[in-house]
Amino acid sequence: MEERRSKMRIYLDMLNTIIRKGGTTKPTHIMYGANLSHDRLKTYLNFLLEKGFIEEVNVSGRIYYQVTEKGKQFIIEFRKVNELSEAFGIEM
Amino acid sequence: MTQLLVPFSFLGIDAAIYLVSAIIGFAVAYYAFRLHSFSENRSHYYLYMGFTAISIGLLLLSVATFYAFINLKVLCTQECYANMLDPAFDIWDFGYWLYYLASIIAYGFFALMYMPKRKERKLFFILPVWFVAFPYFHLLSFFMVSYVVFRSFISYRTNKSLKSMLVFAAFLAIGIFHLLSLLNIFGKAVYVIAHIILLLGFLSLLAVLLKINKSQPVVKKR
Repeated sequence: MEERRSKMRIYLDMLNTIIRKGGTTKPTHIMYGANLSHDRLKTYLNFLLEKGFIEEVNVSGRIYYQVTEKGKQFIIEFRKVNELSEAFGIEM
Repeated sequence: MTQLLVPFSFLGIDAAIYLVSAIIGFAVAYYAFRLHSFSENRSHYYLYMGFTAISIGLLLLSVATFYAFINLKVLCTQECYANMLDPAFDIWDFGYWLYYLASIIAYGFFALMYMPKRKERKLFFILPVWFVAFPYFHLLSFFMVSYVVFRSFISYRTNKSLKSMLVFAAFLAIGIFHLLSLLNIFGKAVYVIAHIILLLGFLSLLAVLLKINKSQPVVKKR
């Protein structure tokens, strides 16, 4: 049985999905990439927007999401602390 | 006269080893604090508290040992005896007691870090009873660290990464340090070896931190 992902892990998966798609992507791509339901996607997107990790971009009348510099810093920091956690054998 | 169990030529070096170990310990505690602020995971909190406690203990021991070293350097020329300078030894002893206390707290946190949540409370009940019944610091520490060494070994076997091997090596070194400290009566060389192993253990943790900072995050494209 797979273990539940922590919220931090979900945020990281969402940000990584956007970066993998070239830095800007549609919400549906984030939903599939981070393996989320529609409701949870909205909740987590709002959190990332509030924190300033992502920003909304209007492309041809459609909403896209883009990772900010703060979001990129979050990914770097998360990876560092995650490596420490793994080194000690503790789940993130 | 009581014979001093510490080699005179090594006095001062041991204080430096405690200081270096304390600095590395504080660095690990700082990273563990950042880790906890990200995850809010209780195990990360125990990791942070454990390294903070052991670092405070080592820092206090370093100051006390250095104070004793300075005093002994003035009075001892050829032979040193434990009751040569009682006030200095009082401070040295006090430093040791603070270190013992901080270490036991730290190892308690490390044990909790690897312990399933439902078993955590048992440790709080068992530890004080054990300490009263079994007041040999190095023996108690050795048993507590053994559990942490075992768990970090499991982690290394699972992850098979260099970083988890270094963490395992660090805890193993701390365990060996306590084991050798128990055998200190068999010769002054044991004291030296124990301290070198302790230093190697903390240097191993420093290597983990350096590797974490060196590694660059790369987002792989699918």
